[in-house]
Amino acid sequence: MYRKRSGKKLLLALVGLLVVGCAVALALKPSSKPAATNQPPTVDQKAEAQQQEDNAKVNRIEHPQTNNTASDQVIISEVGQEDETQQVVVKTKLVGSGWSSCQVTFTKGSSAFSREAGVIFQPEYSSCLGFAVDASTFPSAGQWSVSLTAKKSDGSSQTSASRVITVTK
Amino acid sequence: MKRFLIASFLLVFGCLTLAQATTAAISGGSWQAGRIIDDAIFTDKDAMTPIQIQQFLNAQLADAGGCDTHGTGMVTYRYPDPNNSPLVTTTRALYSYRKGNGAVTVIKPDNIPDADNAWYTDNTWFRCLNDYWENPNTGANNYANRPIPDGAASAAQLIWFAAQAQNISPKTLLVTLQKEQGLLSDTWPFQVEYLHAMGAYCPDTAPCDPAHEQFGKQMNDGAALFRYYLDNMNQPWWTYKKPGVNGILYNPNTSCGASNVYIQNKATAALYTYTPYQPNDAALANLYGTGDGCSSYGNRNFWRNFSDWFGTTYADGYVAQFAGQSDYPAGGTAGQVRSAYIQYKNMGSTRWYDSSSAPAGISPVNLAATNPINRASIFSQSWPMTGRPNLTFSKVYESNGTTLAANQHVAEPGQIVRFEFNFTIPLDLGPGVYREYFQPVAEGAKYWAMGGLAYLDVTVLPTYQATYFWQSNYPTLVQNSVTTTTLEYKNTGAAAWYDVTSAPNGVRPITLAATNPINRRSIFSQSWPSESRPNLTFSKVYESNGLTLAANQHIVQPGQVARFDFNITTGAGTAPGKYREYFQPIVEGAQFWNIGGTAWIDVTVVSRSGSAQFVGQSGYPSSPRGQANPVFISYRNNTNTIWYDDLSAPLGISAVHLATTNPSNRRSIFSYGWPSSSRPSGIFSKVYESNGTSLAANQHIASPGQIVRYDFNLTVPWGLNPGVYQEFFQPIIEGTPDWSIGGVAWLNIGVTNN
Repeated sequence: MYRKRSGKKLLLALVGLLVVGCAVALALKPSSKPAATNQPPTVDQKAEAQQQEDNAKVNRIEHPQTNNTASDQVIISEVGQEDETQQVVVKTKLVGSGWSSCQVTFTKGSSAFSREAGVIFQPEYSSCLGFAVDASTFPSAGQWSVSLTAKKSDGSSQTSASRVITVTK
Repeated sequence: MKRFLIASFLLVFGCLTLAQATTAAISGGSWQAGRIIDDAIFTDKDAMTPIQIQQFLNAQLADAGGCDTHGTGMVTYRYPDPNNSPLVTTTRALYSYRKGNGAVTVIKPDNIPDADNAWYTDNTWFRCLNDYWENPNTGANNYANRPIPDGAASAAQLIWFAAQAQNISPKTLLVTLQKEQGLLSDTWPFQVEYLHAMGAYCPDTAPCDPAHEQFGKQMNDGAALFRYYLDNMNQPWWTYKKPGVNGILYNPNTSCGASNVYIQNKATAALYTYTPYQPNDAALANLYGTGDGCSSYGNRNFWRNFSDWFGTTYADGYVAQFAGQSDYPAGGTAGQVRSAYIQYKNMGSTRWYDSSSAPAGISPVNLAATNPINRASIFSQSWPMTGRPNLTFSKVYESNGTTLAANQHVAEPGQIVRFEFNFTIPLDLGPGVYREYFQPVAEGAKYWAMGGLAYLDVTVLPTYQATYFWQSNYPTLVQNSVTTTTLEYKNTGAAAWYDVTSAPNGVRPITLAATNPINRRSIFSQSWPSESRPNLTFSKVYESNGLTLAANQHIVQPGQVARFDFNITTGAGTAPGKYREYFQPIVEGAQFWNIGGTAWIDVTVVSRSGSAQFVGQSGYPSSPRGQANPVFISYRNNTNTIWYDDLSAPLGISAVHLATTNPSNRRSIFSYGWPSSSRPSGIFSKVYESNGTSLAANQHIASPGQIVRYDFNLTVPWGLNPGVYQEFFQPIIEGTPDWSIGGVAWLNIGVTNN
């Protein structure tokens, strides 16, 4: 009987120590928020955060980002032949919205050929999904004129100014 | 007792679980502009199940105070002019109505005042993300108080579908949703926020593309953009951000400036392509608030929210930051070894072990060949594995990069590890610059990537290179003739050339080859070792002046000149005309056999003309049966080609034999002792100069104008009747279709009784 009571006291003491230790561990645990917010947010802090979100939302609704619209543009930003692969690479820039396909045309005298590609979107400007043409596919070396036509999903299209590339084989 | 033990266990377990569930704190100082998130975490499509996503959305809304379904909360704004009117405070419901949001689904009766907040709250139904359903094909949805349409999926399911379809982590998509429109914590979302939930296809300078509106499309199309970016950024036509040094703006207002960022992985490059701005110091100093007029928050909030919600954006806590490397190795040639090193700083919270110090169950940090990961390097001959230059740390420094750490095989956070290793240039590698990519990896770990992509350019100098030096005159040959021609090449490479007689084991010889195309079968090759190899040995080796013979005639040192002599043989059937024959020296049997030096020889073949002119013969013999009678016949070579006999004819050239004729190849009854019954002789007995008396220098070759004499016996057979027999002879070009060269002569043989 005596021994039983003594064991129970010991266990109670052990549990008490665990509770205290656990509380300390939880108090010291790193928070997912910065040091200043180690404690759970207060009602006021929550309200302030909600107010911030509401303000941001109202701002988005009242002042949409698309105020500064730019006119549509189709641009060959760069054209060149890579030393290593001998590929003729055409880099493109499509300003505006709704672009859906591209066609690049190489012309030299009476020779001409085209390549087509899709469009990849990016918020600053879209671009054509790839023009890297093997020099071996050009009928001849020399100066070739390059132009780019991009189409929109509504069927409209626009053509870039021409650029010139000297193709070596 | 038992109850106490169970309670104690639960208490300890619960305590440990709570401690485990917390995530590490972040601060602006932890921001790494070049490594926002690792690829493995960004693309872990199985990071969450649809149920876990749903639970997460529920928790986010609950944490934000729950969905304000009827818009009873208050909001302050300027009305009616959003720029100039005084501020008003109304319910969210009324504000929503005033902005044309479709959360009110009944028509307001005229007797209700415009600003009657109560009516609007009674008739407004905001639908929060955790309760949003949409048919992704039609866009029909349950916004406001509409019922869930046929074929609809929950927002959680649509997020998960997009993640699976595009191999992007659902966590990435959740954080992007929050970053773009704040939908996860939005307690009164407008319809337009669902239309442009991911900000996908919303250009900076144009309205959003209507073809990509609706929540389901935004999820899939936004995830697809990430996938496009990840999969195409190595293409030559790519114009956006990619791993390497990139200029990144602080704000769309370019006057706020930019800085160069070394983007360490594709996921970070994809984020900067999706949102091309980095936070400035002000934005990082106030990580949970706003910075200054030049701050941007998209990528900061992505990193902050991901870290807060899901823990580190770095795989397994192993974080490496590039901390220097050796110069690119100096140029070398085949077989040479070049050394290099790359250093990384341990920027994570985990201790790094190398393979010699890692305790059981702990992944060692190794340097790996990458791009793609575990690429087998062509320079790996001395490495422990083709994709691992070194499995141990070569040096471990303190964070200052100069003081050696106490333990050279363990790197504590902040310490710097140096990996030293060798590049061995393989024997068969052609000249050029080879870019070798490396990164440290947590070997065998699920999230093995630690960042720290780096590269070294290895320059391989031409091991073998030949430059044309000299050649003999273009030859003109008559059909069925041969001439010797010469090509010389200077060794302008870095290694010595050996021919087949001198090449040591493992070293490939340099031979002369017919080319254009390589290994072309030449029609002039009758005397060559093979139809495409005029010569396998050097005929001469000169010093660099091309005149002085080198000490070793079968090894061409760099700078020396190799001479290849070889025969051009025109068969009797070679059509007259001009032939251009291309040649080049090659490294026989090597992958990179081409060492340049292509040259050509124009071979002109002309028709054979002229004939054999009878000059003289011995007297007619007369003898009894069984007796051999020596006779001769002489011919002048009145053709335009050299005559060879069986002792002098080069390979591929037909000899000029004396033959019986009338008819040709007649079997002579006097042929005992001849090479055959129709060939008295295949060897010239004498060759005279054109005067017919002076012996020629070569008694087995008759040049045009010289005279050939054939001596042979006419042996009278025993059974022959006495009488006079007439035997006809003529010289022929043996074995050719155009064999006859004239010169028919005869001898009368008198046969007497014994």
